[in-house]
Amino acid sequence: MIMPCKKITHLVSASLDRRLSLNERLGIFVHFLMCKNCAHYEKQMLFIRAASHRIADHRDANNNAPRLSPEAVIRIKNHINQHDKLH
Amino acid sequence: MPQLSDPNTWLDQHGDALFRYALLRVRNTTLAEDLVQETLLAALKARARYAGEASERTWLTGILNHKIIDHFRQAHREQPFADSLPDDEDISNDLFNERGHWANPPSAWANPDQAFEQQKFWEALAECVARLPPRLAELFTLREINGMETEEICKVLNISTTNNAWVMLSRARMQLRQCLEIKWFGR
Repeated sequence: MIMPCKKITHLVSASLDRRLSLNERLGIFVHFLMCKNCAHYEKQMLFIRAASHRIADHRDANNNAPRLSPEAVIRIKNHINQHDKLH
Repeated sequence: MPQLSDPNTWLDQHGDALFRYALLRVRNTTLAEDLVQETLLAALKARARYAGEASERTWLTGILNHKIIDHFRQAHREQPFADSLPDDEDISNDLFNERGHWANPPSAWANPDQAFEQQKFWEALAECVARLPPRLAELFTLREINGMETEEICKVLNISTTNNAWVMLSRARMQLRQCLEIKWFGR
């Protein structure tokens, strides 16, 4: 029995979160032999994972990466100073 | 053994990095600022316990990460993730026909690895994550950016079964794939 593509896409995603059963892995393997689309889908899922793991480093390296606003800096500084005086 | 620098310099030295760390995970400027403030105050109180095993930045980031998880935990203690899996989070009906075959098949992406070299790609990815329905974005972020295990995430977000979390993660990835295809891989 060939599993439908929709089911395969969910299994491909699940394979990133849990260990698949032997049957599930076999189902994917057989399906990929006949379906390029789902094989593309798996590659793209792996790509999205790899990109997500690196996103923090890349965004930090960016010159226009978000920064604390000057108002927030003043507010936080005041807060910390107040705390310092109390303790 | 590394020593902590003067706490008065922490904000200047680490404030922006901590802010970006928080913003990437909570996607809300005010909340991210508050989390940075709480982190620095907590660090001030805990500085006697700094063991010098991690760099100052790593130590502060660890505290911030606790604050972020606590924030999610509190938010979902009052408002658990619904057990339902609403249809509007599921785009598969647009992608598959009624027999579950592709109606709108994914094409191969040309040179995906080159995307990593381009700043605009990272902006596109962040935008695609931000466009996810909020709870899918939270779940995806904890799983793929924070690298937490599903069981742990279910406790933090108050999701009743790991199975539900897996279904939601699949939906999140499917939406992200679709968004990147439009925004970056240009179809």
